[in-house]
Amino acid sequence: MGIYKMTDRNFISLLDSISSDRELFVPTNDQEETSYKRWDNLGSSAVHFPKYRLNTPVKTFFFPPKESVSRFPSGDFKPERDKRAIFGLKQCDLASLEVLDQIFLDDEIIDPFYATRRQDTLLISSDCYETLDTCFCNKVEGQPFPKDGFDLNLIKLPGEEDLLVEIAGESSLGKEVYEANQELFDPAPENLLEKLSSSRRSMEEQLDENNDFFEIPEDVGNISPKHPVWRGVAEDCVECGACTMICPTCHCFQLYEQTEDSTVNRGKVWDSCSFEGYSRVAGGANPMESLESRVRNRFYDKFGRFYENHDFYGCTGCGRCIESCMGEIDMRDVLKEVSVANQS
Amino acid sequence: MQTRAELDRKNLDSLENPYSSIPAEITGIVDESPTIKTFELEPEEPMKFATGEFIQLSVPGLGEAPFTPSSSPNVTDTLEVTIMEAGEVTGKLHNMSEGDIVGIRGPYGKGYPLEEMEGRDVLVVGGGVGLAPLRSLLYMLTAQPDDFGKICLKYGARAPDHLIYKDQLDDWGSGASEIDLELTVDEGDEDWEGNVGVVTNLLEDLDMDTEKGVAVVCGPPIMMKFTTQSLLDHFESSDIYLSMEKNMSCGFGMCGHCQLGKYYVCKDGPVFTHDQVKDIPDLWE
Repeated sequence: MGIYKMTDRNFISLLDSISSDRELFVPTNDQEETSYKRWDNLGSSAVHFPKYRLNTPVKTFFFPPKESVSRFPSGDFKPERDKRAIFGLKQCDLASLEVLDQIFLDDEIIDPFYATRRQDTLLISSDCYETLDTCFCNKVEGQPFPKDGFDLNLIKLPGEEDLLVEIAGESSLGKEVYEANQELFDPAPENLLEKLSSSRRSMEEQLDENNDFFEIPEDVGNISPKHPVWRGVAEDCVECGACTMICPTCHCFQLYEQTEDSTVNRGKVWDSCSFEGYSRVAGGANPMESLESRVRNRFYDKFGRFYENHDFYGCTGCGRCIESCMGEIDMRDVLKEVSVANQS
Repeated sequence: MQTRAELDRKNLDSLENPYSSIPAEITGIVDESPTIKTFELEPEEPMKFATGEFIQLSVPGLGEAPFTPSSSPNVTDTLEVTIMEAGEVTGKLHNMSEGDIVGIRGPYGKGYPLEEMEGRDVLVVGGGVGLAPLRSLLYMLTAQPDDFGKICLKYGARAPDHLIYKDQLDDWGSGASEIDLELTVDEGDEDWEGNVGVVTNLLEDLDMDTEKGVAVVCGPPIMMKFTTQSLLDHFESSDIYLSMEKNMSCGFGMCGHCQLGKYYVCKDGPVFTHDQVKDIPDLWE
């Protein structure tokens, strides 16, 4: 579809227009870049362009921590349809949805709850204007600005009054928004586009510099389970599960059942391979009983199993796991240790 | 995977809910051994399955567990599952009676590749309750015996009263059957006159064309491990089929639990060739 200019005032009109038809979530102007709030509860001055990704992983909108999925004996249980829009997503957020799509939108079986939310949600992204020390999207085939996966990309370059708006060519929702609000879009001036390129380049350079100390080794899935690095990680891990809960691509869940009156509700609740009971089977056998086997699983999964099956990493480099870890485990250090040992 | 554009064009209101079970009535119960029972289930609507595929069986309100039906896929109105009492769900199932209602969904996974077995000798090795999925396979092999070569069954259990499917074993061992049966128990009793020892003892002298044959194994991990080692003396790695077992919740590759190397057991298995899984560390743990 292309790229356009939009004035600050038209931007607010655009959000108003989107929110007349959808439940719109926006980043709030907290001191910390923390979470999304509903637009209609906020004054327009409260919305802001986050400099980098928020703390909340976007999976919570599509794959909530706990939800009902079926009833018994009726079996009749359908997802609710809610038209939604989320503003303020970064490239790593969009990349996380691509990972989850591989899991929940399988060719043979589709998760109807994930799929309907995915179909019903307008994704409005924006570029990164700063990087965190923990960001490493550049090492997992990403970059600090969206290339695809969004419906609209709204860019507000630092120091600029006007915005740039990209509309994804393949996005029917993006096209719909454009067509309904054409008067808000202006042609993009050349100088702003040049500024955009230079902003993107400088973000990329900064990420390269921050992360030049490690590489993701090849064939992570086949690194020996006896490698000493795993013992080190297990010594620091306190098994809290924070890394997996906050990870935007971790998708493990457990089905559970609860009876209310005479109806059985089946639900889905997040699970974590950090937890001791994760792989226990009836009778008591537990192949991932040791903490070492569980900590290494995250690496095998994201850089091994997922990569082997889908040809891209199951990690987006968002760095949330690094920030959230009480044991100060940094995935990048672990990958570095593994590569050094692999070379020797 | 569906792309977002493909997804946008789909009518999602007509999607099936893969998390929903259908009610099934327990229409028969057979006590197989002190810890194992076979349940005949009659689902509200027939559930078609291929031999070796599995279902998720639920005790409503308590939870689910995965089982491979032990009956023939050619019987469509009912299906049978053979269940060892091992945990909460199986414990509750063992206390259920004819007429009680359970839930089932599925079938899931990849079962036994009958087409790969056509024209070849087939060795079936079972341990304990591991004979359950193999019985379903044996029903299919013997339904069209001309399609397959010689069918040998080697089955071992802890003790004589732990051998399951005693009626079928009598038939299969009668000489009138297409199946060449050999049994063994870890420990005999005063009436037992047959082999005593582990099932691998029965694999030393195989009276079949192992070079062109296939082997199918199901049993407890320790039995699978040593059986596989022994079979590799006779069979190609890619001709040995193993039934893998892991913690499973969803049954279709989303919940993450049953990971095995680069595979999910529920979706890529539960039946794997030895060749597919041989390099996975700690395979039998």
